[in-house]
Amino acid sequence: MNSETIQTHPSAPGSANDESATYFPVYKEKSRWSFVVGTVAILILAGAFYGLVTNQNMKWSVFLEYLFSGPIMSGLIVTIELSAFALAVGLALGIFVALGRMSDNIVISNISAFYVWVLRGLPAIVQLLIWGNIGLFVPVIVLGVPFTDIALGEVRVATYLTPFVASFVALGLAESAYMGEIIRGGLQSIDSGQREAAFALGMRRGRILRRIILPQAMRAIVPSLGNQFSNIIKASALVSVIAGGDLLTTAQNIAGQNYRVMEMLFVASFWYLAILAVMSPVQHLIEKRTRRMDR
Amino acid sequence: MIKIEKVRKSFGAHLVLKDVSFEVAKGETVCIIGPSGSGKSTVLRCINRLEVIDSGRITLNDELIAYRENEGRLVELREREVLNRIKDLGMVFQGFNLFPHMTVLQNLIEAPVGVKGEKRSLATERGRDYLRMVGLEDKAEAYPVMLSGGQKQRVAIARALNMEPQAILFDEPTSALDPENVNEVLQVMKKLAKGGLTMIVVTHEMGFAREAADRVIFMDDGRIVEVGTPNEILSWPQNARTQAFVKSVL
Repeated sequence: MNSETIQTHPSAPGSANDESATYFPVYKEKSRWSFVVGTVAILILAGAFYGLVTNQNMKWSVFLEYLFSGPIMSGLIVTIELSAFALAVGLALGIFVALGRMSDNIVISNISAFYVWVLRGLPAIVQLLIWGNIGLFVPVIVLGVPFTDIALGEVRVATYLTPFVASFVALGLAESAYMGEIIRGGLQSIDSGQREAAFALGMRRGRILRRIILPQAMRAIVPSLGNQFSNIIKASALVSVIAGGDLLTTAQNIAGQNYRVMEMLFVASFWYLAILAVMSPVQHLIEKRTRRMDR
Repeated sequence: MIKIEKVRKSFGAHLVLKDVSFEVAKGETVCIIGPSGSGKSTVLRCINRLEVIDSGRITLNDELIAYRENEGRLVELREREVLNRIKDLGMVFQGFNLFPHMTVLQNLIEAPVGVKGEKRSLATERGRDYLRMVGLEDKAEAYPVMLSGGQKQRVAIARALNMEPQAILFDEPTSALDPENVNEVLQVMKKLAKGGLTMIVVTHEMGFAREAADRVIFMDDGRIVEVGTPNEILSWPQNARTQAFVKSVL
């Protein structure tokens, strides 16, 4: 049975195998129930699907007619643009929020904590409504030194804060609070020895952050970024309250004209899921790249 | 070359260094030994400003390393000035602290290129020489995760050397290693000591101290208790506490 012999010292008792015995491999018995449960689940799903497809009230021709239609396509593009801009705003501000919360300056760290508290605490739809209507409330922003008459210029809010801009600013700001916490978690997950080693090599703080800490923190951050992006895409459906032009609003507008509510919701759903389906392999690829060092 | 005078350091209410003074000459290898909690690692970390001291004076070539004296106070230097001095002091950590997202060679050239503004080709060439010296030239393109503990620590030594420092501080460089990896690191360190590098080594390796050190410092409870040649400290300790410690580790 053994191809190698073991060198046994006379003083060590009882270590030899019994050459005459037979030794069996483990056999794992499959449960009969797993087959039954699986079959029942498939039957239920198939039934529901059949019901949906053959439903007389569901006009699949309408679904197909609008699936690739012009308005839906432009709505899809608006949704993607809106989400991408919101992600960019959220990511950029999130870095500052994270650094702010980690700051030694007690004023800065408290302001950052307050910022996170407010923007995470308010429902996204409330924030969208506020940004959509802020032009009525603050028509002009004056750039200058507070509490003095020194003014460097003024900005007409309504000119720049179009509904589209207000939408991605609102989504981006709300996102920045979450992003800030994600980035902070990533930065703080890096062992302090990394910072010490870099410092001992003479690197300055900014360089340590850029070259040593951030690249490592990215692999804690990137998986969450993917999640945040899919959250933003879904949250972008909320912008119908101030702007529109996005996928859901377009679909609803069409439904308002042709009364095919379900069909149009299915069209929108198809594209939301399609974006996510494209997203996840991309996310997987990026994650793989950031994990290079684990090879 | 490195001079430590009356250095006092506390963590909260706990005084870890109680007026520690010693001097290290150019080319000298000094080993600091002592029980855990005696403050020996803290001394090293104070020298290159990983810890802020309460009072005292630490100089490299008669220049204060992280402070300037002003009207009876130590004033911290600006980041740029501190870094400009401590880049001349290499450090090797117990936990290696290699940058895991960079290859071995990138670890070696990151600081020479990024901090000293050296040409990449020059830093790379010298880096390869140091890798050869520590016996790891074939690992230049490897990532740290693929290396054993002993290999990691040898890379860390090469990384410190590639900054061409005036001295290297070793903070328990073999304490985190598997027993079979300890020797390969100590061999490299002995070679460096023989080669005339100025080294301060906090260690539990009495064999290394005996063989490679010019002087051994025994610390206990935040104070230097006894200083002497390896033979004096390890074979003929005078102080009762040194005697007890040496007896317990040999």
